[in-house]
Amino acid sequence: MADDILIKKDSALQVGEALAKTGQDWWAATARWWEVLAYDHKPSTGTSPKEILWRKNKSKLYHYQPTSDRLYRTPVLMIYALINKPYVLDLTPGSSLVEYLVKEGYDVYLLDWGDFQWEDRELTYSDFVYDYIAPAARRVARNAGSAEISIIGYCMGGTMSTLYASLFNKPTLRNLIYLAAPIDFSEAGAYDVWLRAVGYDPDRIVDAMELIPTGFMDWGTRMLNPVANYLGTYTRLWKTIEEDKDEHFWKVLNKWATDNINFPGAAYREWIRDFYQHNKLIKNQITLRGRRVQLQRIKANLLALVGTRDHIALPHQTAAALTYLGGNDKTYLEYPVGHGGLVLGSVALDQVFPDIADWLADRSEHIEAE
Amino acid sequence: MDYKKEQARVTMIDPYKLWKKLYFNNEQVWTAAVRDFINTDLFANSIDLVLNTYLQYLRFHNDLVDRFTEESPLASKRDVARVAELVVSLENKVDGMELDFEEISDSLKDNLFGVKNDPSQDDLIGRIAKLETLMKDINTNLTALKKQMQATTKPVRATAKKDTPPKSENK
Repeated sequence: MADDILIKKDSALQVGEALAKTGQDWWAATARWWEVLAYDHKPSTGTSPKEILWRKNKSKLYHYQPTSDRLYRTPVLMIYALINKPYVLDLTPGSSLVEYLVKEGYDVYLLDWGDFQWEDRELTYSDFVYDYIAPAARRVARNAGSAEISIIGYCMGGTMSTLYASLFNKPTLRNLIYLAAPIDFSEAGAYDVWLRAVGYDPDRIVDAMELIPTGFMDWGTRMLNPVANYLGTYTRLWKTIEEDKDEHFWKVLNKWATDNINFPGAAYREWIRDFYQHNKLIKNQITLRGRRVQLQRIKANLLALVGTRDHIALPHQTAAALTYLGGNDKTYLEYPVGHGGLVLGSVALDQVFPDIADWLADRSEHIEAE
Repeated sequence: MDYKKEQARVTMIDPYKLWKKLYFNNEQVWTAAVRDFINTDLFANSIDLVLNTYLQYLRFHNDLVDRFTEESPLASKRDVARVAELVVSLENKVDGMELDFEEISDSLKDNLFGVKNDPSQDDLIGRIAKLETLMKDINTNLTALKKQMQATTKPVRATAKKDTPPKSENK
């Protein structure tokens, strides 16, 4: 029998005392667990100092304030998905990609889509690319005083960056970084089975819902791993408290995981039908406002980062960018993490962030010291 | 001595630790099993059945609400959204104008910068400088000439005054 579940004492009295002590600890841990779930305030997130450079509809373009000397002229624009909130890229001090890059001397910007409401239900990917990403990129370049920019696209944000990169050449896109961004939508794990099932009709969903509510999107993501997401999240918190570990990180992560946004129906229809069901992106069959998205037109330097345990954007889905994009400088890196592990946790801090900063350093215009 | 002490120990299974170990190991097994199940067509088809039934209900409900709000004097969700859409489109227009303005401003800047850095500018500057020197020379010469003329024409003017009466007098 495993020693870790045995109590070994000199007397029965001592055994009784040990059991009583564990019982008390468990009671205290369970009480604290309930307190965290029921009463604790949500921790602060996205706290890196920033200014709003531009607003449009509900979206905001953030410019992060430098905390050290700016070393690179080429600005970095981060584009996030239309699901959840982008503050996962600036989660909490000491665990923030934004904070890391700013400290490394980069001029960092982030496009926050905001909370979509009923009036946004007709927004399409054309609108996002032409009316949001393209003007944001121009404003970033203008503000940074650079003719070139770098883009970091996380998850669907990477796919949207690809659409932009194929259609726009001003400002010049020098570097494109994918963080778990799906490019090839074939063999997409559980999504492949669900979204290609005979009964799954995105038109029917959008016609009925028009604006896809947060609950529906949240359900779709959580059901990829239901036991871990619906039950494991809470048992993990109890274990963290019982083992006397810091619960702060669980709280910020849980805040982000449950902080979803509505999805514009028209965009949802395109996302499911054109991307997942027909895999049009790699076939160069996506057309936005009459212009065809051709992946080989993208000549930017490419860095594709994937988590080998990712079940939302599988590694091969991102790796496909190396085959289909047109540039000559392409780098592919894998890490033993899941979807969120590329921007959260120790692997992100110790490996992913330094890799991004180093890769960018070799491919960004340096500011000469005066 | 140690052997005797070891013998004297009371050993018992810790029910708390046993439960914890059992539970978390079980959770891992369940996680894997459920993940395998949700990847099947059976699950996908079952869930679609539930989804489509819900969508039918939702369509029915929405149609009913729409019909009611059409007849009602209250603003519906669609009416409010329509106003918001107008505001957003107005904002788009202003944004477009701002971008156009920035573009014009940029192109003006580029043009001015281009003119400033045009190599033929040096030649032009040199020629202007030469012209300025030439003008100065001409000006000096003209002044000198004027002085000479004044010196030579003064007596002539004086005699002319004597022959012809001033204009005011003619009036």
